[in-house]
Amino acid sequence: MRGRSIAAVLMAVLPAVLIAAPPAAEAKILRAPPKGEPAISIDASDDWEPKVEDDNIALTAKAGHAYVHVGTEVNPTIGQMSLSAIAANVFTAADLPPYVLTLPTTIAGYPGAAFLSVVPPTDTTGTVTIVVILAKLDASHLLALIRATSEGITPDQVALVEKLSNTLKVSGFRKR
Amino acid sequence: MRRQVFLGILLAFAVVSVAARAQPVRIPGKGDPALVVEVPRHWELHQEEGHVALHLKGAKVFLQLSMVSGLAVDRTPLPTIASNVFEAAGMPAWSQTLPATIDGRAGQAYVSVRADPGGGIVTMVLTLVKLDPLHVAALIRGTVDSEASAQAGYLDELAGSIRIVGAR
Repeated sequence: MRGRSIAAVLMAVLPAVLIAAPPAAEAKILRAPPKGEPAISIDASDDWEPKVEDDNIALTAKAGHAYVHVGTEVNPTIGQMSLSAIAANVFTAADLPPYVLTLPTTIAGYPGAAFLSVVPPTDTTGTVTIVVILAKLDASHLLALIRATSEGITPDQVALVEKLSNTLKVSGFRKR
Repeated sequence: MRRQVFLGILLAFAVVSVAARAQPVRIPGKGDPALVVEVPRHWELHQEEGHVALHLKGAKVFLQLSMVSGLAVDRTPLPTIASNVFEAAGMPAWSQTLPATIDGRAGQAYVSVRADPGGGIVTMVLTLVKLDPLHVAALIRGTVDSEASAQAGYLDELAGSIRIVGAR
């Protein structure tokens, strides 16, 4: 996520999850960056419209209601910061409501934490659930998986988000 | 008479609360497997048949613990149990899921969000862990506030202290 902070990504979450579904695209394994390591990869099935930019990947569900973004953040202070402090900064910088719940989870096999924020409904949009999952890859690299879902999403569509998340892989890092 | 009954309930409730602070709370009270948690003083305990609810004093976060048990557990998928729990709680179907654990045992978490007409937002995360063919441990993290980051830390700390005993 070099050159583009997690907060900047979050700012794009709401428009992405609320827009109409884009046209169909072929299924494929996406890698960011395309060459070299460290890298992240994700298996974007035919249910997703993917977009790879630098070393991050964005996916919008063709059926609507879901947006997923995955990337890495490089910062020498990551090792000294708690995940909750990083998450708080991210939500504040993105001008989103602060997270209201957190729980330990895993991401690409790395232990991390999930932070939940809820965007209230407006006259034209329903409630949006945002889950930011963070894990430290090493003292200077952070892995971030951002998932936004809008009101009206079905359990089957939620399952697609989970299935996609489970295909996330990280290469070029040694697990601690 | 009504006043006496009301005072009796209050007294009984107070006894349960004090007793619970003095020793770990166990769900269910007898038999294995069970969920055990030490209740810190700043949490208020409501103990009922089969489950406990804990509210952080002066805050809008809560935690509920229960053990789902019976012959039907083995043939009931976790998503079906999650649906039943959210329906009983007056919550909509889950909007996200993610891998989660209770005391290191792997399970699945389900996120449900409800916006009330008055502007409040109720957020619940239900974690289900299948312990054996007859038992599923259920843990609910919840908040009725949208400004609760600091309180979420207390909630996660308490959830992290829950232990599963007597499971194979």
